[in-house]
Amino acid sequence: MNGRSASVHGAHHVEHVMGMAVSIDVRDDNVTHAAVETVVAWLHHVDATFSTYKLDSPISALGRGELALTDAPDVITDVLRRCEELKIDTGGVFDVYAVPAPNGTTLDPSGFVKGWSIETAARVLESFGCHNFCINAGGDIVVRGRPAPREQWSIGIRHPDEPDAFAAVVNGVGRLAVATSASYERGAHIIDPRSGLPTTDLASATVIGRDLGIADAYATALYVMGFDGLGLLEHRPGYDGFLITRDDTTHWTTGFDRYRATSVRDANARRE
Amino acid sequence: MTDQSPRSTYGWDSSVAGYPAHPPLDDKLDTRSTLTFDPHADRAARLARLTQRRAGGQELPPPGGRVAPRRRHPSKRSRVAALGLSLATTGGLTYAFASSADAGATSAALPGAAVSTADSATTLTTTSPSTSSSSAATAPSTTTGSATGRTPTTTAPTTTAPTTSASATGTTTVNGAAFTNRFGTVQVQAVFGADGKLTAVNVLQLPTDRKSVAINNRAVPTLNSEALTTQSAKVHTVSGATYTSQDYAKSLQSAIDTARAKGITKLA
Repeated sequence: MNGRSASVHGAHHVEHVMGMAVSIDVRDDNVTHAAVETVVAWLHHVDATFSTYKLDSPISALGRGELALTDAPDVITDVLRRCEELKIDTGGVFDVYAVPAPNGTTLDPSGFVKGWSIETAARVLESFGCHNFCINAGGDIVVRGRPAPREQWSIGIRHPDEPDAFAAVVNGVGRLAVATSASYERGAHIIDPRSGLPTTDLASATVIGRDLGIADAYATALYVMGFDGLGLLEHRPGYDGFLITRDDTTHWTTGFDRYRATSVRDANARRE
Repeated sequence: MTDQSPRSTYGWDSSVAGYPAHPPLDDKLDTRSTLTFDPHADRAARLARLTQRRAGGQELPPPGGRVAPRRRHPSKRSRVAALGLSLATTGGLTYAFASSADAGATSAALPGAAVSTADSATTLTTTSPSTSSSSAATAPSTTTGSATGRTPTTTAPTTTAPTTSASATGTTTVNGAAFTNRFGTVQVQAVFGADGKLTAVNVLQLPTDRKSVAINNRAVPTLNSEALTTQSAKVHTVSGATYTSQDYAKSLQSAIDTARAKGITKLA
């Protein structure tokens, strides 16, 4: 069920790829079908290359040892190189070789690939001359520019218990990325590489910053690390974190306040 | 996390090995991987030009956007104070939390999961080791509230028959079958309008593992924290994980299939 609508005032396309719905919302007047089509083709290319749900994808073959790294597509080598940098950056918490993948191997860079592929899609749109858009891929978001003249992008952070409400709302103009790692539903995808067991401390962990690939990896690490992860992000200029614990408390880095919609907070305080 | 030492949680000490202060990672466009994909030469050239501009240090200015202000790090004194505060409260909270660590996994049955018991289980067979609930018409309760916790299994998921109920307003609610994996049971409920369109999907059961791997008996930071509150606001988009597990999809599909068989909907 892929919806596409393009008018003189922009384009909004929803594509089901990589196991999720990717919403591409372009506000520029000059957006072309070719721009959106290239993004869609890119996402399917990423899916075909990196899907750990496809046993015949290059990443699965690589994980099984059937494909040598030197024979792997360049895009895989680039991604794995960046994942290695992120592993060092997070002190080993973000480790694409540490979690069991759906394809039965121990290589799963999906925690980075999702964000990185959307960040690249944003650059593809920029190369087509689009400067005001929002892409939401299963809850990982990039925005550029403004939704409308003199308006800010308004991004809700999902409430863990109530599907229609938010735990927080962040605003931004220009280049911004928001990634959330969460476990509203139990799944095998968030494992602490240091123990090999699922982590369950937090309901969700959100990272906001400049690059969605990095934010995606940081969100995964933040979810695993908990409060320590906030400490890590305090030392990562340009990236901020927001945690929701299972005890219904929220915690955030000092830089997160510059994004947070204060008016909504005040409205909420009045309700208390 | 196995290390339970009362390490500072909020006043992070950057000299701790493994977490050095670090400049942001290079996020420049990687030309090679993008050009390898690009099917059309003219678009490849466009991206190459974009990259050249970036590599040459020409940052593309965001239209109308302002540059984020330079963030000031907290002073050393405030960091030390935060460290002292967190250590001072660690002892008290450690005692408080020590006996509250939960064990065992449960499946939480959400409130409002009213299930019609009119239909009895006749259609689906149970394929794997026993569920604790014999009546498949009610919400499956394979692992609820077990004092000894759930033993993870690697067997095929169990299923139970979906049920249906109709309301006076013309909407029909159909419960999907419950699917159990090694983390617990997943079951969703599909709500159809009078016209057969899917209007809502409610989650009836989700596995919630209360056994915390990283038992958090550290001091809860008192800076930048508040109770979780519910906010409704008009936003452009929402950040949060989505329900993507196969069990969720299977449960939803079973609800849709049941509804279609009963003529409630034409969805596939």
